[in-house]
Amino acid sequence: MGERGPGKALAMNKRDLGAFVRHLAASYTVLAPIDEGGVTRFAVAGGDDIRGSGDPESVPALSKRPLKEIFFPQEEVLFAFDAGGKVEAAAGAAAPADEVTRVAFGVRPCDARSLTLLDLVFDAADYKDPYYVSRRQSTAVVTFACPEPGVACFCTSVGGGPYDETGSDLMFAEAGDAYLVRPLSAKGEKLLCGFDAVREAGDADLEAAREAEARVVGRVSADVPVDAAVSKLAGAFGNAAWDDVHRKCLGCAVCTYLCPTCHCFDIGDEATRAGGERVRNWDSCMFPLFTLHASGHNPRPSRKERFRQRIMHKFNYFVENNGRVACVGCGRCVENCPVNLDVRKVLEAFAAL
Amino acid sequence: MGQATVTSASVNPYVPELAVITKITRETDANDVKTFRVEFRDASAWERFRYMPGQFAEVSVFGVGEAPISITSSPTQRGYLEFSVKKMGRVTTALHYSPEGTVIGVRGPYGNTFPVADMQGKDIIFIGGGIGLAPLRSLINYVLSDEHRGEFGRVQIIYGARSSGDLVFKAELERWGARADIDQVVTIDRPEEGWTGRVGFVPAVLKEVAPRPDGAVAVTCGPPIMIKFVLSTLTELGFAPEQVVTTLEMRMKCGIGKCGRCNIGSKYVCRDGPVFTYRQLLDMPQEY
Repeated sequence: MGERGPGKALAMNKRDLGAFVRHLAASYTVLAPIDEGGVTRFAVAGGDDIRGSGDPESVPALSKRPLKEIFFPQEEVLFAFDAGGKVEAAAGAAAPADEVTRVAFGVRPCDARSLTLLDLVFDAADYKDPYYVSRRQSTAVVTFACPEPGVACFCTSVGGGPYDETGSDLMFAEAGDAYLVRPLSAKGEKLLCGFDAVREAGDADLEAAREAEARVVGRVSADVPVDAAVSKLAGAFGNAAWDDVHRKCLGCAVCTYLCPTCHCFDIGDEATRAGGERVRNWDSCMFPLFTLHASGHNPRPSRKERFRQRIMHKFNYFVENNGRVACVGCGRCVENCPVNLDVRKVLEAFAAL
Repeated sequence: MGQATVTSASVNPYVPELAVITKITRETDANDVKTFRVEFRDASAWERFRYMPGQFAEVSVFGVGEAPISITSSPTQRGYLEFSVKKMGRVTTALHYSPEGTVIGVRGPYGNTFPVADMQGKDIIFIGGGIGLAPLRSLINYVLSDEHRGEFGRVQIIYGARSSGDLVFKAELERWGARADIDQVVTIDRPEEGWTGRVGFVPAVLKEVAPRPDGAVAVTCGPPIMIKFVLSTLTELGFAPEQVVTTLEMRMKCGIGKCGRCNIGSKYVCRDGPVFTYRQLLDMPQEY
């Protein structure tokens, strides 16, 4: 660990970042944003291959697909069964949970924050989801403070920010030719063990870090009145505004699939002659089948009810149940909506009621 | 409402216990409702499956899928579970084609329970329509059991179906009707040759029977349209919304408040329900 004193700020030169990834890859499975045919997503990486493009000293960009999928994959087998009725849970649920085996590297603060919201669902007090919980416990989260908020970003309106540490185990922050490196948990601390290029931060590093942070703060241009919207939504279920705000929506569900906090899923059987598997897949409240009863009755029969469900779940129901909004302001739903239905505008409309 | 049973963290809530269908009872003339009696293959499963009336289970036919089904047996009936199932969707249809001896999956019990503790010392009026008698039957047999009969007041059962052939639990209806401590009225929608019971819709019969609200609780389940008129009739009869209890159905997958589809407002029917008082329903969005 070099010559670091306790409580001192740490730094790592940017040119050592590739070596640090190799250091991690020697002991852990490293998952980082990888370009797969133009779509960036967290996947197994090795060596310098820590993000989709170019320079290994730079900060990985916000992945197109959300971080959630390395904890809650789009499709996963829950268990297999054979024709005799023998049931065997998938290995995912049985992984030893007290040992860190994976590192999510190059996470953005908004995605790291999203994990603490998913925890409220999958690691709840009553029922634990063993697949999610074991992956979560065995994974350390290495986050880079955000140097370039996008035009769709609004993290600062929902309690986060480019330097938010919520959900991270180790935090990197821009400091000129170096990064400040801040361990935030025992998990994060351990990742630095045996990596000698981590050093105490000097005055020049700290000054450069302050300048970098000052440049970024204020770059998140959106100032969405989330608190006002949340308080108005509490009584707005029957409001006529829902008749209009949903009209552009096509019901394609890209907003929910790319949302780092959406957690809805379907469970189904895939049968073979010898048995089969019980599989879970992401599902979406934007689809009519989501709530369709076998009788044909559907409590959310049109896009109006389904759009209302998405907004109300994130900004009212989740708040009532967990005390937090289920949104981290990453902007993916804004950037990827095919009809530019902007959740920030929806929140503004309700705040103004 | 009663508290949901909570599994320990070490248990995988998605993996069902294996159970064998040991008895199938045809309930309706059209054969669209059957009662499946099942027994766990592993006797230790009973330690993990302690339920109370009102709770449900996720029942699976391997290779087809799972569906949430209310437990129609009473916990006082030991050694087996019963599910009364109407043939509706893929899983329930597959279940209908499963013969005795078939191994199915059962996980649970899930959801809250009928507020049994709050009902102690009170008269109970059960109002059921069609297959809606299934969840009520668990509580009826609990209340009528030797162990618990003394804890409750008079029992009144008002039950109806479209025709005599659509009435479920016919043998039990006869037994219940013969007991001196039960007032039971069974009705069908239209007159039939040979039918000597009441004719008329459940809410209309309820109005005629006019149970007294003092010291009473009404428990109702049936088709949505019936529940709607039963609730307004009970209000006319002087029942406060707190005195009226019902149980709701929703499309569900996980049963444990995670998959996100069965909510009404901030309440998950699988976790916060399925049992709600009329008082609670009045405070919830009308989206069910």
